[in-house]
Amino acid sequence: MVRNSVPTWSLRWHALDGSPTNVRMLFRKIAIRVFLPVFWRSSRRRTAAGLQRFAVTELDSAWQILHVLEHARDPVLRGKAFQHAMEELHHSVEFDRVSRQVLPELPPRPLPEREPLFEAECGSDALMDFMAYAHVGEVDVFDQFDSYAAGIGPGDARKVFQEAKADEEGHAGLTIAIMKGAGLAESDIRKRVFKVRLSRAWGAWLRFSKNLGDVNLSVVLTLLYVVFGGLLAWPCRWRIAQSYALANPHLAGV
Amino acid sequence: MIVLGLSAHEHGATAAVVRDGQVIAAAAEERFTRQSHDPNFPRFAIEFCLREAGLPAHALDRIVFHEDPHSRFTRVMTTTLATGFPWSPRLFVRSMAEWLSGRLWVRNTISRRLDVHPDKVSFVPHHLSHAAHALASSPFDEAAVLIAHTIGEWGCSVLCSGTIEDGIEIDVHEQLPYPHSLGLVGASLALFCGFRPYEGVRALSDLAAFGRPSQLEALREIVTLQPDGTYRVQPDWLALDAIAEQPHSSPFTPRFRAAFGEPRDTRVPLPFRSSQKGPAPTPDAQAIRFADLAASWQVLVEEAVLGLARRLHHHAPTPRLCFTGALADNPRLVARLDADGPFDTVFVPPAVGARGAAVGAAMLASAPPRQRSAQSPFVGRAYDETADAEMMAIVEPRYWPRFRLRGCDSDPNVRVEVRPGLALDALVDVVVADLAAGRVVGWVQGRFGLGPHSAGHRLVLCAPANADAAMRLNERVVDRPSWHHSGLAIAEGSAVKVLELEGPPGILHRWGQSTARPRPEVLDQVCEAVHVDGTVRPTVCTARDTPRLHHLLCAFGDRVGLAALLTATLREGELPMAASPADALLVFARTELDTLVINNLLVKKESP
Repeated sequence: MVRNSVPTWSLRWHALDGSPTNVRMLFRKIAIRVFLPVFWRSSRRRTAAGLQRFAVTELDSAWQILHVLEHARDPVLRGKAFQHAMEELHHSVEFDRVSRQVLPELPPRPLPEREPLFEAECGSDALMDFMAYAHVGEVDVFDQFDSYAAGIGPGDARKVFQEAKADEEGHAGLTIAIMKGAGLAESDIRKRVFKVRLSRAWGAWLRFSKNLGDVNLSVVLTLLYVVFGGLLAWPCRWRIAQSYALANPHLAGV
Repeated sequence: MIVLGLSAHEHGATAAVVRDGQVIAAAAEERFTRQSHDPNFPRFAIEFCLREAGLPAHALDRIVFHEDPHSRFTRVMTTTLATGFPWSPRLFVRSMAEWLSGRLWVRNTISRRLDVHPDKVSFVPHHLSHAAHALASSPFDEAAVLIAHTIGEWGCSVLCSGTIEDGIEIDVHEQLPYPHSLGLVGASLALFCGFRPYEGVRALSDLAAFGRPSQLEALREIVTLQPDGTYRVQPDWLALDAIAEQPHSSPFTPRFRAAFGEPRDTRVPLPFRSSQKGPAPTPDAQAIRFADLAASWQVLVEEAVLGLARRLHHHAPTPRLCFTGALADNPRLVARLDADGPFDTVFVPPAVGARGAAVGAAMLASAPPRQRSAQSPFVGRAYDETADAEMMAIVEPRYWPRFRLRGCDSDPNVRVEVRPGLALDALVDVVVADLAAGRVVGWVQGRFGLGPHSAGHRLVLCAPANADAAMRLNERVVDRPSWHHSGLAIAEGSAVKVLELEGPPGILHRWGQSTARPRPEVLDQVCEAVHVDGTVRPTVCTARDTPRLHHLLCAFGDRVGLAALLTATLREGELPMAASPADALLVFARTELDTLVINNLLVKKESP
C-alpha cells in the first residue's frame, strides 16, 4: 500500500530520537484498537465501507506501481514492480470480496481521480522519491493492519488483513533495498522520507479543509432546500408535466 | 480542423481527437486508470490523444464537451425538487454539491487543465453527440437515428435523422423527455437483479434467456406502451431521479417492492449455465424470479424500441437506421430490431454510451469523414512488448499462486516459457495447437478498441466445442458466471457456414452487436458459444479489420474444420479490459490463462 500511510524502518529511527511521528502512530494504534471494534461491529455498512476503502487504496497502489513499470526500463526493477503490483491488486480484490460478504448491497467502490506519485519526466530522482513515498505508505499500513486485524474480530476479513500485513512488510523492505541499490546514502533516504511526511501532512490538511468546506456547503444547501424548496417545487412539477411539449414544440397538439 | 471531444462525469469518461472528420485517437479513461467506467476528468486519455495527434493542447482548433452542463444542471435541480420535495433533502444536497463543486464549471476546468482559452471550449447537446457518432461511424450518408439511452440533458429517447454532406446535419423529430427513460428503468432492474446498474444491460439480456416473461403485465404498469409507438414511464414505481443522479442509490419504492419483492442477494449465485453439454443445474424459485423479470423486461423493451422505430420510420422514411445509446448494448434487442423493425439495414456503433458521445461531439464540430465506410473502433493506444519480454524472462512464477484469483489452480511448480519476436506464422501455429489442446489463450494485438467490449484486439479465446476450456475461460479467467453469453469470432469466409444468414454477413455482425442463429450442422462444433436461447453472438472478422485474428481463425479452421473461436474480453472480474501488456500479464499471472500472446511475444505456462 502506497498511500495514506510510517515505516518500521523509520519508526525504529523515530523510536530512538523520540519524534512526534512515533507518538502519533501510537495514538492511532490505540484509537484503532479501542474504537474500531465499537465502530465497525455496530454497523455492517460501516464495516463494509471501511473494507472497501482499503480495496480502493490497494488498487491505487497497484496502479501507481504499474505507472512506474510503464516508464522503467531495467528488467529487474520491472520484475519486482510487477510482482508488487500483483500483490497489491490481490489485496484490493480480497478487500473488495470481504466487503461484499459483509454487505452485498454495498454500492460499488468509489472511483477517485488518479494522481501519479511518479512523473516520468523528472527522471530517476522521481523514481527514488516515489520509492520513499511507497516506503512510508507500506510501513504505515503494516502497523495499522495489525490493529485492524485485532479490531475487526474473527473471520475472512481478519485473514485478509493478516495476509496483507505480511506482504506489506516485504514491500517496505523492497523499497529500501531499491533505494540503497540505487546508491542513496542513509541520510539522503532519511531526507526523502521526511519530505514525504511533510507532503502527506500537507495533503491531510488539504483533505481536512475540503471536507470542512463540503460540510459547510451541505449545511447551506440543506437550508436552501428547506426554505426555498417549497416555493420552487410547484414550478418544477409544472416543468416536468410540460416536458414533452417543451421538448417537442413542433409536435405540440399532435 | 483538429477537435478534441471530451466526456466526463458519466460512466466512462473519454477523450477523442478528430482531424477533418477522421478519428486519430480515442480512449476511455478507464484504460489508463484501471477503474471500470472511470468518470473522472480524462487526463490520461487526453494526454494519449494529444501524443497520438502530435499536438500540444493549445494547437487544437476546438474542444467540445459531450453535453450542455447548464441545461443538465437545470434538469437535475428541477427533477430532484419536483419529485422528491420535501422527502429527499439528501439527494438534493448530494446532487447540488456535486454540481456546484465542479460539474457546472466544466468549461473552466477544461480551460485550466489544458491551459487553453475558455472560448475554445464549447458544448454539444448530448443527444446530438450520440447521433453524430452513430452516423459518422456508420457507412451511411443518410440515415434515421434512434437514441435510447438513460438520460441526457432532458431527452431519454430521441428520434432523429441525419445526413453527411458538407457537414453532419441532424434533424431531431421527437424527444421523449424525463421521466420517460427506458434506460433508467433498465438500469433499475439490472440493480434489482444484482448487476451494476449501467453496465448490467447486457447481463440482464443474457439472464433473460433463462426465464419466461411471466411478469410482463406487471412491468407494463411501469412502462405503458402507447398506440402511437411511444411509451410512458409511470414515475411512482421507481425513484428515477435517484438512480439518474446517484446511480447506486436504491430506486425501489414500496410499491415496486410490493409487486416484485426484494432485490437479489448477490452472495447467492444464479444457478444457471449457458453450456448445452452436461446436466443443467436446477435453479431455485428465487433465481427463476429474477430470470423471469429479466425475460419480461426483454420482451417489453423490444416492444418499446420497435414502437419507437416504427414511429421514427414514419418521421424519416429511409431504409437505414443507426441505433445507439445504452440500450443498444443489448444484442437480442438489436437482433429483434433488425428482424422485425421497419428498416432494411440497422447499424449499431461498437461504442455506445458516453465513449461514443465524446467522439460524436468532436465529429460534429469537425468536417465530415471523407471515406464513407464503417470506421474501425481500434483507435486506442498500441504498446511495444519488448521490455515486457525481458521482464517475463526473469520473473519468478513460484510466487504467483498465493496471489491467484480465488478458485484458480495454484500449482507452485508452474514454469513460464517466454518466446519473444515470433513471426506471425510460427505464433499462430503454437496458438492453434494450444487451442486445439483445450488451452485458454489471451490475445493482445495492436491498438485497443474504444467500446466496452474489445471486439478483436484484447481477447480471451478457446475452442468453442470444449466445455472445460469454456468453463475455465468464464469462471477462472474472466471471473464471471458461466451463464453469461460468450462471443463467437468467425472468419469472414466461414460466416455463411456457421450462421443462418440470408446473404453475406452485414455490418451488424462486425463487432458482436447482435445475435444470430447457428446452422444446425455446426451446433456441435460451436456448442459452448450457443446460449440457452439457441443464439450465438458473432463477430465476423475480416482480413481488413483484424488481420492477425483473421489469420489465426483461418489456421484454426484448417486444423479443426471450422474457423470459429469462443471469445470474451480480456479482463479479470470487475477490472476494466486489459489495455497494456502489464495489465494482460497480470491477468495471465493471476488466472488460469494458459497462453498469452502480446503482439509477437508468446508467454506460456508449463507444468513440469
